[in-house]
Amino acid sequence: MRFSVEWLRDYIDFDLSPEELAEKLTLAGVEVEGITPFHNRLDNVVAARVISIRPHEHADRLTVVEVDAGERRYEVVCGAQNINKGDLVAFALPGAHLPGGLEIKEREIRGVKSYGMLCSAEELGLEFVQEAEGILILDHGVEPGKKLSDILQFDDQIFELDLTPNRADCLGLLGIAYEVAALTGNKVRVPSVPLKELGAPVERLLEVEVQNPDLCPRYTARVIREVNVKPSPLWMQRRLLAVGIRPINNVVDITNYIMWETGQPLHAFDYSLLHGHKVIVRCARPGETLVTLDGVERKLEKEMLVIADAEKAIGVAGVMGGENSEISTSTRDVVLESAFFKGVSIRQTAKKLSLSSDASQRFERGVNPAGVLYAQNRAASLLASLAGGKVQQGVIDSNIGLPSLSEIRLRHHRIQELLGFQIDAEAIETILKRLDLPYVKIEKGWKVSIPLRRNDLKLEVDLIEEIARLHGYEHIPATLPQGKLTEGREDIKQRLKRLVSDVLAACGFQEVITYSFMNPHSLDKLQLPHDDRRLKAIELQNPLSEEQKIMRTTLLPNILDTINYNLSHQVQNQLLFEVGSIFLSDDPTVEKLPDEKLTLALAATGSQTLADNNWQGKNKKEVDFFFLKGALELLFRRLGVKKYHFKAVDAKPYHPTKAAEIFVDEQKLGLIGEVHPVVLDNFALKQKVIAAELDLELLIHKANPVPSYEALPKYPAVLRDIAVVVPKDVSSAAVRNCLMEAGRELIEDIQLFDHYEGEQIPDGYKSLAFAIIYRSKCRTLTDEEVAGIHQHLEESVEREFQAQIRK
Amino acid sequence: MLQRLKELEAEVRKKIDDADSLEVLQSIKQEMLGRKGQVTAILRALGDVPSEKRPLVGKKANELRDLIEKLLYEKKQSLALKAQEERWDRERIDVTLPGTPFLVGQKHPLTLILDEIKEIFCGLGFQVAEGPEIEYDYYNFEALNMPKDHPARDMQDSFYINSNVLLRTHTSPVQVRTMEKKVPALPVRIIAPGKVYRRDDDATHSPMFHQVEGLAIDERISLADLKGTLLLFAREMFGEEKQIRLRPSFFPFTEPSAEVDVSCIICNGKGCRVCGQTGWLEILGAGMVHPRVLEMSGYNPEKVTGYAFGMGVERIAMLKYGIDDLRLFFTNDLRMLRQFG
Repeated sequence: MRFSVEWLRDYIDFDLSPEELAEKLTLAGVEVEGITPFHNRLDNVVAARVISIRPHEHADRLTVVEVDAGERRYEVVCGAQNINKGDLVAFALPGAHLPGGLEIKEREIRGVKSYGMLCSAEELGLEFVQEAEGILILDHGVEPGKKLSDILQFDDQIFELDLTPNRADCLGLLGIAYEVAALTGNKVRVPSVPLKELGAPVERLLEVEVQNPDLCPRYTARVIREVNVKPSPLWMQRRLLAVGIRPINNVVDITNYIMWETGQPLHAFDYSLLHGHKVIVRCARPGETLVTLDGVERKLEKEMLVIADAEKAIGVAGVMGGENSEISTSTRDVVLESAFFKGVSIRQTAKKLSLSSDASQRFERGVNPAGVLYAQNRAASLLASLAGGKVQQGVIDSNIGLPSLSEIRLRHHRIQELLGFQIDAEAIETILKRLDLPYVKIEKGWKVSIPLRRNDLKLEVDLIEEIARLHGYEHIPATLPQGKLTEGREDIKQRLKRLVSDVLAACGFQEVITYSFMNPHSLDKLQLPHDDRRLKAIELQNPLSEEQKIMRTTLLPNILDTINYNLSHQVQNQLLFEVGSIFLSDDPTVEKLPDEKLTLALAATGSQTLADNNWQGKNKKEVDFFFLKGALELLFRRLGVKKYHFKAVDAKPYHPTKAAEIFVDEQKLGLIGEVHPVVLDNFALKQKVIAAELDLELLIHKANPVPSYEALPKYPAVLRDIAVVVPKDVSSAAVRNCLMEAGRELIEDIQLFDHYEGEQIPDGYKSLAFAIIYRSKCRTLTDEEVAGIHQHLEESVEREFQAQIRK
Repeated sequence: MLQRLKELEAEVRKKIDDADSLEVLQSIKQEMLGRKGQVTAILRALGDVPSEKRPLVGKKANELRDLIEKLLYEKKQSLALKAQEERWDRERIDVTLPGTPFLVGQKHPLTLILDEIKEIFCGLGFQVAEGPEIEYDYYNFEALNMPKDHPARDMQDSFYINSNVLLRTHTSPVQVRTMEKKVPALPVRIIAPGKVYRRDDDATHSPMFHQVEGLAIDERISLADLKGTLLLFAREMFGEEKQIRLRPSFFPFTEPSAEVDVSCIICNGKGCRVCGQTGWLEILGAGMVHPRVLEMSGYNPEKVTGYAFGMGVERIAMLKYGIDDLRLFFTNDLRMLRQFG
């Protein structure tokens, strides 16, 4: 909502600078977003009266005009034809700078000296409309010599309000005046409506039929005859321009002017274009169309309320009029509409038509049903005074009855409880008076009557807010809640989630946060099997773009895109992780909320150290499966997750022979692996990526991060190595398990320290070397004892895997 | 004999003086004091010296032996010192060479801010609540006093899955879910951090962003308590000297409602480009829980009151870190993210 300070002063006096007014309004909840002057000042441009006009001696198309500019007279050469003796015109004196950059000087034009220039509205940078193109003719009554800047109030300040949806009352200047009244204690001046009715009773001229009173509770109409359609006076045009409305003609300008004044949208139809001299408020017919005033043909739907004549739609109710009944220069008789349409209906229509207008915005937020007739009469009286119209007798008022005025009980103690400070009854009553809210005193408080212009005041709390904001939020003390103590701490799951991020960050991984949306093509790129649950992603009805059309079912695609982005910015070594939800639903209609599974994804590419260049030598060991597995194993250790294992798996998007499923307590936790070369290619990735994706909820569920202490060993350990050659497909875990099994409680730990294939080892075989730590909990082991067990270990492995012991 | 001792002394002094290594010193010692050494020989031959001269020669010879030992010791010390200095010199490093780069990651800046917010409110006795990101229209709007076709819904352009299910546009539905779960228990004090979604995409809007919702319900919670809580938060977050300003505003689920500004973190209230010369930065929206919201969640608004607030995490991170484009948080440019590690 924009308004002009000069215009506002019609309705209320205030002794505040624009900045002070803005501050007061903002702190009262009517936020002023900006203040701008109406127009740049123009020096040396004044009003002048045309004294005489004579032809130019040497040019047919030019005239020499003598003007009276107050202090003296000037002669100017002029090319325009629209001026007459006695007109008041805009005259630029020598020395004036016009907005287009033109500097006015005395000069000779075809042999005649010209002491300045008569200006058009355009030359002055103003968008006024006038009857004929040419010199700007000023309103009557202006004194010659007066500066144009003062006449047209270029220094008027334009306020831009950022209104909250509840304050529909401030969508009109009178409403803002009531707000200023509440802030200053001054009184609002409501313009009086001197109305002289002539001619025939309106019922004989026009019939109004409201078929949907539920959507249009009130419809008023007047007929104004013999209107002289022409440009509005400049003062009105100036005010409209100031608030951002383009002047058109006096009839349309008056409807807009009164809408801005009262907040009540109005519409004028050309009476002669109404078939059957009838106005029908009805819903649109199937297939009905209407060309609205903006020249666009609108397809109407049956829920949309239209204004029609006996034959056809002539306007979309409360949104925009139709071209077929538009006011034009040939219009003589006007039907003036002032109505109350239900906000919900207007909102739906405007939304469906993608057509938002000043009128629809006001109806959507709710206009004052009690103000409908006032606006009607006020506009009619202006049509009489400014357009020479004859207001016909009476007004058609189809009204299902005004909503009853509500009364709200306002309790003194409730105000103090909710606001948290003491405020005395006198101060409260002062605020109610300033708000112009009538009240009576009752026990423990007041009964307050709410005028219909404040449709946002419905409950006691709404009034309490009024008290608070006019008392001043800045005067509210700052206290802290009292009462029972509460435990303020993240719960164990939240703390574990935080621990996961902390551990991974400590391991060198950088957290990323990517969008929860995903590109449907990303799923194709992963090459998942056809029955994979992740392919059934939830679709948005109204995505911003195709790339953000579905909700992610896996974190991988966005993280791979992130790697790609960073590679393209020369970051070669990347260790990333993300914690976020994936969204899975087996029901394509998503009647029930989907599964939101908290998921952890890791991805690594490049070398294991982050530094690309280091003078201490380039330790560029590339990341591999075991690097990422190591990070996970550390994470499991920190979380106290013990019973896990990795099992080889062939599953896209991973490499068929470099990937594993991870199980915890035999429950599937997730997958880890090198990303399949084809998938890498699909994501345009040119270097190897290792990734893992885990069910974080399950992991946290299995966590047991409080370690229990094991007593330090009392007896010495004995170390022996064992090296075995086994077929390549025997897993190291299987060999280790076999050794563990064979050694039972005398083995403290077994660590693989070498893994070798190649020279000296036959094809299809590999060599594994383990360090075995023997220790008993209750005695010192003897050499003979250890030798015995060790031999048993060797024999067990030989038997189990056809292994060969390397001596 | 005495003459011989004198000559020997001069000779040995010169030799020790010239010696440039421990090996040479060793051979001098051998030559003079060893079993076949020259001084040793003189001492051994004392018996051949006439008895009247013997004490004097003996004394002088012993003196010479002690002198040689002393000189050798001193020379050894000085050589060792020299060797050490040479070693230190050899081992000198250029301390301006860069240190070994450590491999360490960091949490995302938004996570860092979220952690900080949680820490502040946990210290005030708030618990952390969570809720789904895909939410029913009921929880996102209706239970928050925004029935269908309420104009306030336009403030939050939503992503819909179907007519009843959408991506939550704020973390406020967690308020409702928490109250439903806790009713009639008191007090309720929670914050609800999480992702939210709105159909916007420019330098100051992202279709996905993060909010932290706060809610306190008890028998006597007031607007003054809200102000006190938020003042404390603002000072913990932005610095001890910060002020806050509440401006009346409108949210369908709170009444009275307020926008909350903090004194500009750049100019501290004097007025600058960042705060648009106002001296204030808007950081959150807040208010007293609307009686209808309390009622719908099962609490009696005549008996209990509460406050609620909601803040944009990106907004706070941008202010705190001086980041000017919100989309940077989701580009995940490592050159940016690593600045926080």
